[in-house]
Amino acid sequence: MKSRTPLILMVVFLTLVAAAAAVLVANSLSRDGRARRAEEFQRLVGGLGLGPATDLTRCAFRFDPRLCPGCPEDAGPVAGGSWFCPCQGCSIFYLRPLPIP
Amino acid sequence: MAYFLEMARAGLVSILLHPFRNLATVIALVAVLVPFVVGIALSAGLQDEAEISVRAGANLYVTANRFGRQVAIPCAVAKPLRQVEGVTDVVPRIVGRITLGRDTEPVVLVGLPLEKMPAFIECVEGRLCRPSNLNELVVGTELARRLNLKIGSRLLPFYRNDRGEKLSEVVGLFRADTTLWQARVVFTSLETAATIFNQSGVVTDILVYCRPGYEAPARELLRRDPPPALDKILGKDLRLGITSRDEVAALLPEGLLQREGVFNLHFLLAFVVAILAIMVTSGFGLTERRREIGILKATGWQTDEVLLRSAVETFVLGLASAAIAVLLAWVWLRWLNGFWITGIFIGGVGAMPSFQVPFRLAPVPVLLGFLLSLVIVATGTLYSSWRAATVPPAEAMR
Repeated sequence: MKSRTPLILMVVFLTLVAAAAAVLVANSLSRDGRARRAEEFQRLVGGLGLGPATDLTRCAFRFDPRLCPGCPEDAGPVAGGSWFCPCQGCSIFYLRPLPIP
Repeated sequence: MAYFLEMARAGLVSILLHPFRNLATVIALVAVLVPFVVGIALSAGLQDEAEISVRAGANLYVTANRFGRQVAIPCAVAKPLRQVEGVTDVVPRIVGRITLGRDTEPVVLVGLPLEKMPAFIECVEGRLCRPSNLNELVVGTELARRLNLKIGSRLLPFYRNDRGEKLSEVVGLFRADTTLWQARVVFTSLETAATIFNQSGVVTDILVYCRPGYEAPARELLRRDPPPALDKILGKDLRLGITSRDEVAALLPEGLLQREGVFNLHFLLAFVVAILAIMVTSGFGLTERRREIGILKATGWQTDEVLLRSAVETFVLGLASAAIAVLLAWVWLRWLNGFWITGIFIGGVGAMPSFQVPFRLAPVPVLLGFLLSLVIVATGTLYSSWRAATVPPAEAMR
């Protein structure tokens, strides 16, 4: 008689794959409410926030390039300072500086 | 078909022959994949929110520049801007930085005219500001938590103004599932913001809303041939800075490309290290594997059958690791709300974010993670299986 263990392993494996697929589908479907509130907030404040920061303390550019068109570290004592800006370190979202008139 | 099912069964049995070794392989893979999937999901969530920010924002952001830096712009600029063809609305705005509380919590203070505030809004718990004797404030979630503020909380004067100071009252709180940029915002009327900054007659930027199709002509007109009244107000010292919605929107795809490049490069390095670790755990040169394959060959198995069995083992381990990584990433971001890892990727956030972390688990990075895990496991299993299967069984069993 063949062992049932490989069958159990197969069931566990398929369950894992099905659960991962369900998570991917559910995640793409459950964002409507948040998007609506985010849009409402943005309409209220006239568009605020674009980058990977939640305040203006160190680098307003990483918070929103519309408020500060380039990284202030570039005008600091270190040449090319924006590459050492802690707001960019580990950043998953790069923003190019906007032109300054 | 029966042949392939039998091969699949043999592959599953081979996983069960070395349960601890394969468990170690899966754990090592999951440890590498989870931060990768979480990082990409956070980045995709941020991208979605940035797109909303651009879409729902103004058409043009008019600022003043001096020495190449943004400075305050006179409110009077609003009047000539209203007369530009295609402009439907002009809204002065103050956005500035202050600190609050004993621990000097950084605050993004946003002030807009009271008449531009809607009567009801879903993203705020409580209400928006109204004309009052007090400074009425709507506070973001992170600030509310750190400063222990609730609706109705009153703040002693935290600023200096030539005309005297007033108490401030929290009349609303932004909801945690609105957007991450509300976290440290204090939203108030333009008049209150000007009072807090001890300024009058100037704002930080002016939002210009245009009819569809008029954004680019209005931008070009203001850049090349601004109305004389505008020049008169700005004088010789100030230069007009105009940022259009299109220019801001153009930044986002570039960000995406850069993110994919830099982030994937970092993780490629992690995967290279992982390959070395997993080659050891998944059987590179494993004596048992050689012996086992030698026995299979001696009992009549062909080399391609041995390799197919190893391929099934590789596929199952790789796909299981990717599936577990997706589930753990989802639990980390959804149930644990990106505990600790959000602070690494997004500035100004503590270990436990007070807002609902934006994330989107996209299928493509997950597929990429699966392929990478497949390559890593295959490096450890297929090569050693092929080496063992191509030598005479007696030598392999020795």
